[in-house]
Amino acid sequence: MVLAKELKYFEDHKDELLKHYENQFVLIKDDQLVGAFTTEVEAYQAGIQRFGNQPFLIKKVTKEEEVVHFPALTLGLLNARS
Amino acid sequence: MPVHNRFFLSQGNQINPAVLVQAGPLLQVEVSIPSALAQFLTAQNQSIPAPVTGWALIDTGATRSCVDSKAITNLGVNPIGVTTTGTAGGRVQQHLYPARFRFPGEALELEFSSVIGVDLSGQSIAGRDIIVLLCRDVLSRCVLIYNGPGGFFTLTF
Repeated sequence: MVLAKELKYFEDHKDELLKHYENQFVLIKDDQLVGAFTTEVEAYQAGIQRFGNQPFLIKKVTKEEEVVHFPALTLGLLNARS
Repeated sequence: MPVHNRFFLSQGNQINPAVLVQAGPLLQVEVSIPSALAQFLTAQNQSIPAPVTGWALIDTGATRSCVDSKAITNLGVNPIGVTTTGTAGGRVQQHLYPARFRFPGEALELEFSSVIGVDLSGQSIAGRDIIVLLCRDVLSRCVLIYNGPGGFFTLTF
């Protein structure tokens, strides 16, 4: 899966990230923390400037993960294959 | 505040509530790459891909807006995250993408720092694919009136 390495880094360092960057957006490329930003837009702009059009992870640092609910997906009215 | 009425007509240009039932509340939409990526490509003297056109379906049941994952990846946009969604087969992880939506009929453009990429393939109305689900993150800034008996809906923003 694309961003698997970045997600692993996030999970492995979550406690540390929460301590320093809770509710901020962190930018992670491969297994490296690039920076923390107030908004997702700022993080994306920084990622594009630094890495160009490459995959990188932007993730809000929160204790609980957001779960998005889609009744149309849940009921199978729409597909949801990644 | 602009008010947009969308009537659904059957053959012969008669308003037909059954067409709204069949199609759902749809808007024409163009999906483009995010502004930051467009600026980057321009600075690199690279061409900017043409927008993908299709339908946006208003979905009051979902929290965050979605884009067809094939449409957005065909534009060359890379994912910037993942989120967990509930589906018929249980919870699955979906990629998040930055995207820009333009609604030609409404003179409205929305830039999203991230929307959820989902597989909307096979969802087609009148020969055009549904490529966007407009959900409650967008509707939080709108007034939506669904007039079933009248065969139209009204959107103000």
